[in-house]
Amino acid sequence: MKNITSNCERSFIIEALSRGKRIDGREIYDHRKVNFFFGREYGHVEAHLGDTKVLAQISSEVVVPSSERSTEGFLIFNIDISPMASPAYETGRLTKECIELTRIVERCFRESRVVETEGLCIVAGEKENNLLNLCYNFKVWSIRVDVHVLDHCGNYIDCACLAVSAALRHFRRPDIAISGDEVVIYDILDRPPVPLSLHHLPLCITCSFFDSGNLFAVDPSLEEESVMRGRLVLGVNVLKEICAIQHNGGVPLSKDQINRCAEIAFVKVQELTSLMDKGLAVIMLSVPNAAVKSTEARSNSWVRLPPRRVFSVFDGRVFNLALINSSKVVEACQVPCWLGTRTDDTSLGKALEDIRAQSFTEKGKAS
Amino acid sequence: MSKNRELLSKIGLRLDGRRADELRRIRCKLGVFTEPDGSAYLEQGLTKILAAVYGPHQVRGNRSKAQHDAAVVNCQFSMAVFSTGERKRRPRGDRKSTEISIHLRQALTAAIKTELYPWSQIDVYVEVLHADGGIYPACVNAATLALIDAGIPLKEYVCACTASLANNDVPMLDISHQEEIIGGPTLTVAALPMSGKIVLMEMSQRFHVDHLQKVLEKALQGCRDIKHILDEAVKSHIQDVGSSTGWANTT
Repeated sequence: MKNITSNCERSFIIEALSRGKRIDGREIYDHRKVNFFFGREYGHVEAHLGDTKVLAQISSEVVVPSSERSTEGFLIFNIDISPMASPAYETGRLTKECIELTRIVERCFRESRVVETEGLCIVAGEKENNLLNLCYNFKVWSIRVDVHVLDHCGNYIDCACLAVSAALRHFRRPDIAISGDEVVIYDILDRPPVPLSLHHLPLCITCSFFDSGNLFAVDPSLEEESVMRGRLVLGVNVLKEICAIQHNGGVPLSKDQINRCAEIAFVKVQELTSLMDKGLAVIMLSVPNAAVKSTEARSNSWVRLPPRRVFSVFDGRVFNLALINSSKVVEACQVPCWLGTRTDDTSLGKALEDIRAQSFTEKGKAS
Repeated sequence: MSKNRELLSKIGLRLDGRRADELRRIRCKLGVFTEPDGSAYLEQGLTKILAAVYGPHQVRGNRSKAQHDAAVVNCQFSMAVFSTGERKRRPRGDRKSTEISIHLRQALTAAIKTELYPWSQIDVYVEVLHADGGIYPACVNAATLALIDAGIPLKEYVCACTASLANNDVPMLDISHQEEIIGGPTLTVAALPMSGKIVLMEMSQRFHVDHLQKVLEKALQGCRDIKHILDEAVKSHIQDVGSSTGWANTT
């Protein structure tokens, strides 16, 4: 974590902050540019916050539940800050930063019951049937969230929460059918996969404090992190609920400062969530509808491999939307910027349909 | 279980018969060991904690940790294997204990006048003998007493307390294990009670932001109450020690 900052830099950052300026030109309440990159699989999201990059990958499997909570599925977080992110981290060791990040993500997403774990139950058998109280015939989904900090340029906590939130919303598990004791898991091409049932979506907002706690900035960059004296992480959702708070050490804060940060966090979360909403609306519309196209999908190879979808969201504008197949660009387009001013899903969907139709005809012409 | 049991009954009593703003009984004792420089034993309800402080002494182990302008505070939290209902596999080193160790260090560093001891180290060892909810706050309180017993200069007492919200309305103080299991949000605050500065705060589960103010206020009130109790304990301990050395006769 030791990012060495010279005294000049330090005093420059603090001096600038005391005048309400930041070294990268942001205002003190601004986040850096937020980007999401959705992978070809469901639940594969890379979130970028400025240059900080965090990858979240969700996978699901059917497992036997624990004996105490036999009707609840699992939500497991596996969080890794590797030396790839920053040379300050070592491999394979449970570092302080890693534990901190794990705990805050778990608090945010597990302890505040984001995913309805009861909804992940597949078969809840009869418990009396076996003496050992083991639930052999029970089956639940285990949702595993792997989070990797790829590039640490400050404030990976917010970035990780963005990645996990987007991944949870993007993820689809295969559909299942139960007949007697048999559980059939359908391929995603045969039946449309099922989204997770999410109660709410928290995001983390980090407020950093400088000097003796009187200077303040949202979303510290790496340079600011090395200068800051304290940090308050607030996990909040758009319903104005606080899901997690972490303030550890550093400068002591007063009650008023905390309340003020909470107010700021709500405004920020509303902004970020609406950005994410827009992004996901585009992505989900562009997912080929597996139920309708299942036969078509098998014959049509590019639909069979869900194309990689890349888009970036900034300032409420959606641009650079591209659907890329494994090797070549199948569809690439610039979604016009006016989309940003119209936020309703129908206009987004319509534009996207137009673009897809266009690229289909172009493809037809080419062949 | 959570359906048919209420955190707060209609007449305002909790599961263990306390009122919403009542702390559990705190009993504490300073100077329980002879070998460490300072030690304390603290019971908060059924939660029982032992704390020992060594130092300030020369930095041991990795010398590069030493700081030229402040003492290094090293905390180790461990839970006795018999402290919980289910026997624990390992007393320390798991993620939860590591987290508590880190948080303990952060809370204590904020209170200790570390700048007085450059190039030195202060060790704080905390052991949970019986876990019955509110482990972290009890550890902070015990560690404060042990630091005072060791004669390490503090800015002021650092006290910690938990608060929750019952029936989505009434803030509740000092959450027991039973109440933790039933659910409801838990806000843990470590504060310097006299100046009202919050040195560590963490929360799990969720509540509306409008409640934050009153739950936080309640937790701070708890910290102030705990400070009075600890203060009494320290005073009576000093009196005991002092009178045994015959200071009453010196005048």
